Amino acid sequence: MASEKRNSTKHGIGVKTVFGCVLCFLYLLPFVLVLVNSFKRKVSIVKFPLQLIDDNGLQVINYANAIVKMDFFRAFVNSIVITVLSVMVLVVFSSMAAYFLVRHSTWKVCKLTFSLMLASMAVPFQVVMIPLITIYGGSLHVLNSRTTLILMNFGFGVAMCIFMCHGFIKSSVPIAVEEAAKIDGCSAHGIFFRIVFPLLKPILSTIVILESMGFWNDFLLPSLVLGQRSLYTLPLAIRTFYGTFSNDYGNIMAGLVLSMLPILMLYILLQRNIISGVVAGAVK
Amino acid sequence: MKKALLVCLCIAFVFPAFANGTIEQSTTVKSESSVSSEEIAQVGGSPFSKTVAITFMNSKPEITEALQAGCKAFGEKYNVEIELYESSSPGDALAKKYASGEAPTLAIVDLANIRDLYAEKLVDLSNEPWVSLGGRELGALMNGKVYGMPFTIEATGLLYNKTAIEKIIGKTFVPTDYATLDAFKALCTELQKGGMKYPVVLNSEDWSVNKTYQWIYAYQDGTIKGAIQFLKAVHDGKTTYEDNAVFQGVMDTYDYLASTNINHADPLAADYDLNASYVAEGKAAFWLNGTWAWPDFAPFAVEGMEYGICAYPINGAPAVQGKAFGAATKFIMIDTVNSSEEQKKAAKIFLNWLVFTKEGQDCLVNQCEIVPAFSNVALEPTNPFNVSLKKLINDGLLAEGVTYSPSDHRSVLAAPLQAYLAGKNSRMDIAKLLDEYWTKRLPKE
Amino acid sequence: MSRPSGRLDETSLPARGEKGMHSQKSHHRDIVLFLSFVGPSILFFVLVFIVPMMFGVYLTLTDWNGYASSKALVGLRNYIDVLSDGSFWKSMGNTVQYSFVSVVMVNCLAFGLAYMLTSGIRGEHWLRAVFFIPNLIGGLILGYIWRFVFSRVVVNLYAFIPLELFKQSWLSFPGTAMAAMIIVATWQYSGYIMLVYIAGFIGIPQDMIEAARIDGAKESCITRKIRIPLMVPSIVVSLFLTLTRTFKVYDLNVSLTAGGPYDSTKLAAMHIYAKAFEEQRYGVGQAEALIMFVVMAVIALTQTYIGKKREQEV
Repeated sequence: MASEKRNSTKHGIGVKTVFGCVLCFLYLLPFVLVLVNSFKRKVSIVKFPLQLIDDNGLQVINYANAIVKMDFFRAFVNSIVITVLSVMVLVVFSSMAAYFLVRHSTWKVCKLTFSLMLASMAVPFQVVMIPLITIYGGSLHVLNSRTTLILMNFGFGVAMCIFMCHGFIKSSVPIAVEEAAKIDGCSAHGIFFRIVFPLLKPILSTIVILESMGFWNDFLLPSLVLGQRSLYTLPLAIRTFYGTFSNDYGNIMAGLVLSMLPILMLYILLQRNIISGVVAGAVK
Repeated sequence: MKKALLVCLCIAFVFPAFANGTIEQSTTVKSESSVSSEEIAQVGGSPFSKTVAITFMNSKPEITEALQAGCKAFGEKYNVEIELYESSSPGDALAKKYASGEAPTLAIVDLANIRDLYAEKLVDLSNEPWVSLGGRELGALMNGKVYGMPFTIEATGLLYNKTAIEKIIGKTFVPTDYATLDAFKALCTELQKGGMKYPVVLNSEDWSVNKTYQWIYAYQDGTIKGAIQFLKAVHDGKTTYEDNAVFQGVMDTYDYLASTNINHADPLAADYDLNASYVAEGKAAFWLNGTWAWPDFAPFAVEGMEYGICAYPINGAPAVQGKAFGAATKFIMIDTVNSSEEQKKAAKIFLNWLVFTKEGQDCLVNQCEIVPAFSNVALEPTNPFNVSLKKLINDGLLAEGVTYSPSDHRSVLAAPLQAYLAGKNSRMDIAKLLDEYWTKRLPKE
Repeated sequence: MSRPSGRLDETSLPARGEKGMHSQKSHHRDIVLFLSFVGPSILFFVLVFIVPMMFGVYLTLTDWNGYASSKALVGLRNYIDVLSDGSFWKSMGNTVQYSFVSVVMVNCLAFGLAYMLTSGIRGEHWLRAVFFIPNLIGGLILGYIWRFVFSRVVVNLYAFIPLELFKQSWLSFPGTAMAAMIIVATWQYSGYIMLVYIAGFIGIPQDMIEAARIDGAKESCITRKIRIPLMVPSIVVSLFLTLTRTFKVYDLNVSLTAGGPYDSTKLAAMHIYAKAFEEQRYGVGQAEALIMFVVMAVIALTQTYIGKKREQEV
């Protein structure tokens, strides 16, 4: 009986692994292309797309160009500041809001808020784009500031984060512990920060990754808010390599590789945290 | 402890966030001795005592570096800080900038953009010194006033690889000899016999396909007036495209070009850069494109090969035979709404500097590699396409370009012609679509 | 072992008989609590979204062209123009088609991947990173890379697999171009949604599963009766996210197919953008955007409503 089970699971794991490998290859293919092309001249990229190494050798100059022409380090700092602050603000305040909305879901105000936010996620950004900059730029003149962008990121991101936390809290955060804490005299804020917040680690880690990535790669909103070159984030900076009819592919690829590294590292880091958070939570 | 660390981290990050970006205002006081009085008279102003900062939007990303160098040179002399930024579609970029109250003081834009903006947003440049030197003829004229300085003249036509052609036909290639479709066909047959199986290259992009229509308009009689007359006649129902000999002639040529297209197996999969490489290296001889293609063409250009631009071959239209068509395609505008008087003055001086001073002209012609619109600029163009274009202008072989297309021409009509290239539409379909389109719209004047 | 309700209301509100001073105080406290928890979120949501949205709706009632300072009210004329704009409805039809197929494919793939990657196979960490990586490329570059794959790389496959399919670029025919868009969407979003499902799987209380195992339930039964019902919130979230994102797609559309071949893959957002900015009919463009939003909202909210009803509380 035990050996039968082992055989079947071995088989199962074997099939899973093969399937996984094939998928892996398909998923990584564009990346390999980006990486390989970042070391080629535009001429080789166009004429010999599948060639692994350029005839003239590895074009590390693409990276040098990317760093210099994109004003890379300044754009990098801008991107980091905006992403980190936006995500922090978002995670803290939207989880608080989601918690309250779940626990008081009979209140009309809560129902209205949640429905409005839900509906807002279906709105295409173009509907609010011009009105947004007309009001905040043309009338109030608060554009060209990273703070404004961070607060706008917050405003646009609350809906999705609250939505995601809402479902998670409802299904995975038992109310029993909160009630116990309340009886012990804990304040509402205390209950949230000491008990509920740590339990939200899986969904919050997920949100951190998803939103960080969103803000890091975001082009449209920063292009509207950040008019001055000194404030450009990485996606805006990469635009310098785009021409009217054709683009500077080698440099773009190099710039892209440089831009991807931080988020990739963040993801790998946070992956472990999700697991450790779960393990810690399971021992409650 | 963790909380305290978190708070410290927050503070460390928050401080830079509150630092709003401002243009570094190095308010140095300049001495005026570095600029000669002659030059001051030419540009209409002397260096500013306090640094003036202006923004400059460039919709021709290919020339950004050259332009930046020029701006820097100008800026150092006249104490003006020019912040240059790019955009590949000026229309929506400007709409957004005006909405947010941050319009650039200077901007390189298309004619359509000036048409939209001049009424309320642009400075009237009719009294500038360069207007009489070609600014009026080629500039952006709205209601009789000049609102845009013509920046560069570009021509649409057949780009050709002279060396590759001459290698096969064994004699000098004179483009005007092949201005009719019949002569062109004979040439291509010779080229095919000589090993160039597909001598023509066609693009698939919608903006390029859209330009094919412009041959129909420009070749009516080679003038803007003639084209507008024709379009108005269509609008009033007095004539149709089917009955128009020029339409039939242009489409005859297009059919032939498509049959000898190196991308004929999959015309819509054509890659712009790959197309450039075909002609640059001599695999094909002719590319239906325009002189703006040089920056993308240059990486593939082979040392020692000669290139040029020539006319679209057509039968039965002696008035326009041998002519490519061209016009000023980009204009520089000065904003009046979001810019101070000082900034506007600095902008005007910059424009004069470009046209009248040696360094400005060098920036225009040698660095940015454009063909200027002004008669006082004596510098010869540098890149092969522009040299060829200058020759066409001197020989009187440049027909007037298409400046009267409504703004939705491309979005409505480009796709059907792409379908035509792929064999999904017939010539009658295109004629009917054109009739329908122009019955509902008038050419923009 | 589910509680009757997940709300704290009954314990925080005073008993019926004790109205007056007590209820006033707790009402006041409720408002304070509400403001401190939800306040900041609502404030910025209103400032950044609601206010511009209302202004945007106002603009659809004007003839504004995007530049002029005159914004004359023209009532519902823009909406009537939209109804007669055949190309808009065609692009909407294409968008619905694209969105539905993408949603199904993304969610199936993501669910499968998440299930696989939480079942304890080897190299789980790295595989999660691999499947997530597609999200790192965004915007226009994503489209350019895939355009390169479909029109240059795919064509070379013909030498190995002599199928008619690989003879020409996939982007030259309407059917395969749409398939290309769907493939890229699946590729991009499956990793993203996979994370949502992973969080959902991890959030399933293990004690329930242990209890069921001890009771002798089979693995597939556990999956059906425990895992999937508790995954409903994640499914609701994921369906909503993929639906809204694929419906609003713009960057990928422009860079991968540019609406081609001959406008057959010109989806709604691209059409709207062209109308508003290229054709300078900003009011009509906005009206189209609003209609697109209404269509999307109806579909997405219906789906969410049905899903939320089936959500079970712990």
